[in-house]
Amino acid sequence: MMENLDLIIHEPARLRIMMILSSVDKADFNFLLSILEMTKGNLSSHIAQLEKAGYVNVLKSFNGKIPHTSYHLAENGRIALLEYWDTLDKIRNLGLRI
Amino acid sequence: MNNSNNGEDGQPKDLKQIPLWTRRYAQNRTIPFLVFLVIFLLFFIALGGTSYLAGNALQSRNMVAFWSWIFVLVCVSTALIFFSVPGWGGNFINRITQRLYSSEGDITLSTPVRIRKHSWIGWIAGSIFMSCILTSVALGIYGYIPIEYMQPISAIYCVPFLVFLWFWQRPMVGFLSLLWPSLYALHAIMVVVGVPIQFSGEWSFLNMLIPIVGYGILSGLIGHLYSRFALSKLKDLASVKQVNE
Repeated sequence: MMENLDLIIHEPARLRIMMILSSVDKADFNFLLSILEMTKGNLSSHIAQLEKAGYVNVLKSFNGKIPHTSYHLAENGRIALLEYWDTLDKIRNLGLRI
Repeated sequence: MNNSNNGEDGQPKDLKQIPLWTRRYAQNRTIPFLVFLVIFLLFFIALGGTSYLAGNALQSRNMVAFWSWIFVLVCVSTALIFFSVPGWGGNFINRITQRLYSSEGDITLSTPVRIRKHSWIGWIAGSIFMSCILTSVALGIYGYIPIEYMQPISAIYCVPFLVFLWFWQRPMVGFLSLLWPSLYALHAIMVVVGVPIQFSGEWSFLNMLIPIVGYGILSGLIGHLYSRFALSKLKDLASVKQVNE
């Protein structure tokens, strides 16, 4: 059962990023930074992995002349997150029964 | 990184609350609404004040002062028109909001499908609301509605319109948005049953200003306070710092 867990999502920071994005249309880099209380480099690296997996879409725009980066949970990411919790709940239930 | 905390870190139920508190925080970011109300309150004060001073200058036959105040009045009215156009005033409010929320970043809830697909319903509701305002103001001016009942009569269309707006924009707005129409309705009921909450004489303009702007600002401030609570709750749930410690 454990091997079915999506290891990209299973990492605490990435799981939290995906949980935040699952309830909104988009959130920007500063919002995620202030909530997760991570370093910029660390957050960038986790988001890059989620983007590489096709779970998160990066939306780049400009606020006047200042570049602005937002993130949106992709449909693949939404499905993967649901499956992750489903698998995790099954593992937990298995543990309870034992 | 502590691997024992991977993903579930023993509290999956808490982590499952992250979307709930994220949404509650986003729904109650009321600073744009408060900025909008404060700007229009300042316009109201500026228009009322300059009209009063222009009237005084005319009565004392000081024509230089009178035309100066008329010039100020034209400038204030032009600025009011500027702020009333969503593309201009909206951009200005957006810039203020971004500055005020700069330390928290930006978050956007999805626009409901019904707004994207049936925007005409919003336009019809808005048109009916505007017609009701114009009709009741006209009836008030011609003396068909006693001045002390202007607020309760306005509640007949304001409250359903504000409830409609909440229903229409949900889940972009939360339950606290219903506080404004609730207070407005409660005020109207108190006026009708004769509770002495009416102003008279030169302060009678407060009979409409308090329910519209006062309750609006109060509701916005309560929403803002709730967003602070939701933000701290969200940080407690989502902070990676605690996981690593």
